[in-house]
Amino acid sequence: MKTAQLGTELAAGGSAVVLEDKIDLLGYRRDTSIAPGGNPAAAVIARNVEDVVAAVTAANRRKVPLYVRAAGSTYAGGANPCDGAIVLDVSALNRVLKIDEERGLVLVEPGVTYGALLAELSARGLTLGVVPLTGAAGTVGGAIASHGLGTGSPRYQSTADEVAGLEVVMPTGELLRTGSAALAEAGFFARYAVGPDLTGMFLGANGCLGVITGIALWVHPKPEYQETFAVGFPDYESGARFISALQLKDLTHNLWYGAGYEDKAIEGRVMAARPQVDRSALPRFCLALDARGTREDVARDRARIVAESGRFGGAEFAVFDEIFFSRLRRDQSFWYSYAGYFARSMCALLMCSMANETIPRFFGAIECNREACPQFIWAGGLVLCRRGVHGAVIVFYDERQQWNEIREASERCCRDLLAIGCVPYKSGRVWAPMMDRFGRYHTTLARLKKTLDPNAIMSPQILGL
Amino acid sequence: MPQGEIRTALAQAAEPFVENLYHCLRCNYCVEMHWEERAIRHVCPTLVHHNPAPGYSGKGYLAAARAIFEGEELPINSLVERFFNCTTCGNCEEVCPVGLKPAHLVKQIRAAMVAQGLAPAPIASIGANVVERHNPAGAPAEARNRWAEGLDGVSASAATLYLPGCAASYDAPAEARATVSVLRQIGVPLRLLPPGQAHCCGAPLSEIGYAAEAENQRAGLRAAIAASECRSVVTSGAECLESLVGAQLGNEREVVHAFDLLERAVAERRVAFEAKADIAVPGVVGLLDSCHLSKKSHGPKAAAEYPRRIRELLSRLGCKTATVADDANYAVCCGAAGGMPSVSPQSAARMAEGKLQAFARSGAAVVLTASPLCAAHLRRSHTAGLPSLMGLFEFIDSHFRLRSVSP
Repeated sequence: MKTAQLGTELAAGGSAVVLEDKIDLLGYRRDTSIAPGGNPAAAVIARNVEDVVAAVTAANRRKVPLYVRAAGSTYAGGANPCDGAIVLDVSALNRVLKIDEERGLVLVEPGVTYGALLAELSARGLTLGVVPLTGAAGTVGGAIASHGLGTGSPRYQSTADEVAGLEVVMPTGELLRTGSAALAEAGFFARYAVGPDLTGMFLGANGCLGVITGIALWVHPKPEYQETFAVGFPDYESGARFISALQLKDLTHNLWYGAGYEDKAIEGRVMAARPQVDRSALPRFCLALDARGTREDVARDRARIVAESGRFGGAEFAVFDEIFFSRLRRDQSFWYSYAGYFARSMCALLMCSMANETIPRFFGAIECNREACPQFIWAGGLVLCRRGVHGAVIVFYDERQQWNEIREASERCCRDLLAIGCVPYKSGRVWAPMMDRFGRYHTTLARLKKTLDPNAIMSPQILGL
Repeated sequence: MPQGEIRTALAQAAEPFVENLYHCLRCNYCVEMHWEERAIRHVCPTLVHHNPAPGYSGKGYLAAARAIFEGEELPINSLVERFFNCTTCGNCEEVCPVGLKPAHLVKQIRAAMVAQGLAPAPIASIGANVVERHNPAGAPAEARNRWAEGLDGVSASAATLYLPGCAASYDAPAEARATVSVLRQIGVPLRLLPPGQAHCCGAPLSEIGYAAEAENQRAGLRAAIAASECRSVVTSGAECLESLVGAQLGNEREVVHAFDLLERAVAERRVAFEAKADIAVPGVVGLLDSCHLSKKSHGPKAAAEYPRRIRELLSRLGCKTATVADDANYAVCCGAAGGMPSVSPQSAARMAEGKLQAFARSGAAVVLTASPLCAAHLRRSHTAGLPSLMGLFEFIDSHFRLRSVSP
């Protein structure tokens, strides 16, 4: 069939912009990851649900792979199409549909950026529990579809946990509403309703099982007060045991964000800003925390957390907060820190989750890779959750000179991480070659996909499916 | 021209930017972002008002240039269409978290396209107009100083040379006249170059890819300025300021925007303002931030915080500047520059209308700008119900009486 007819079919929803010029399609080849991209045959900028249905229907009719994306700023390859595919761009589906203060949620389209959404919520004294590093340009749909745990949160755990329900165009073109909204008369107010949690099925699925067209997110009152502080530890083991104590004793209640830094990051930042500091006295591991709530609650929790750190050989590490962390958390400055990773050069971001006791081995694995591949600059960091932590391995590389090398090194590193019990939380294409490590989980997922997507059009190869 | 030769020429043009090409992380900041705390709400006027396809974005230009550099065969006509539908405002560079320079790349690729004879007809027409008549609109060269006829404050012996710029001379003469009037009132008489010597400064040519011709124009102007022996050169053109600063007029010669002189007089307490009795000063005005005066990609003068300083002056005059949907450093372009009004006039008009509508929502009754280029463009796109438009000096001259005072 001729391309012109494909364009007509894709535009059948009435409002879509169909792109078939090679120059426009360059922008749809890749996301921010090191996963290789493909050359799509066409892209559709959808402006309403009908456009999405038309694209899915056309892809089904032709049995052409369809990949969904919004900003494409994620770093696991989940938005990268294969050759000849159709890319469904939902970034223009960007309306905040309803802020429902009675129900404590906001209903949005997938293409709304966190920046735009936060601005609307802020005007009403509301905010979101978890905001991803990509938030200035990153979209809500992209974050949750790529299992965007955001920056993670000790209080709220993850972006996915903040989703109250979804509207999804299924691979066959039907519209599904999950959670309480399965009953039209009820609408969104409870995620766990009727039966099993179908919402979770689409979170982190990278569009493999359907196209998310509506999202209900929980909203929260904007805390009246914010304060940051840091605690340092002599080694990773002590830090890991402290994190477990913090979580078990529920001292995370007013912590909206927490990040763990390895020795090299601590040393680099502190010595650059305060060269007079005694290098040998610096902690090897540091946990920096962003506490929010009432001034009294924050002061109380801070005192308890610092005291608790003392039981594990830790102590308040004020200089780290002063020179770095307090600035990072000011006015969403961490949005530039995401991109700031890339300020030095391109980098591979390998994201995983782990139990607290794995933390020392996680940093050990980074050290091993550092030694094995000294041609790259390796860094690692943690994000604190309500339970467990997320880990990020950051590998700086030169895209022009080291493109093949970095992909090999990253895959080796991913395998090392799996071997010590780190599991990917942004899988996309980067971890796809290793999905067979997840045994029955993966085969069940594949069966589920086959049932829901009989023509196998939705994001083939992503998640190893 | 054979396609192979064109591709080679374009690849060579992309080469100086090779680090940029391989450093774009595709974060999408240059496409669409919203950052309330930094007053960033939208980035690219072309994506908003011309075409939403990523091929028209900063990252799209980088991707296309990388593909060209790697020898990929891209449709030349589409490339030309995309690269000439950028306003070169530089907002993509302003927001880029890793400091990439897509707007500079666009100008470089345009230059290669022009050299290969690929300039779109309206662009070629601008090029020819400047070369033949020394102004982009193709207006008669001898009419350049017509705006100044019968005007006080112009003197053949003045030490300060006034180059209003093509936009003020031909399209916004009221701003040129008001500038002379205001500067006269603060004790700065101005000299004009005779029409035959008053070349275009090359700014519009640099933006549309006529780099060599731009330099020729600058050289002509440089010679005329040198012959004038004026130590101080003042312009009204925001884009001219960038071009003149880069024109190497000599260390001994100061190049300033007219606002600089007014601000200096205010700072030195050499001027007093008195509101005219017959016209009410609006309490709230809108200020359109010219990209050439606010975005760092337009050189050192643009980093000098003109929007903030102009707001401070307006505040001294009792005018509050309206809060609009974007802020100086990240203001979305009004569509006046980069050849946009010629290549895609409807899109450029939408850009202008979008700006004026934002000011209308802010409650501003009048919108001011220190750029005659923007003023002329906005006037052309003005429709009923939108706030009126005035040049900054036009506003000051019509609402205030200035007098020199002893510091």
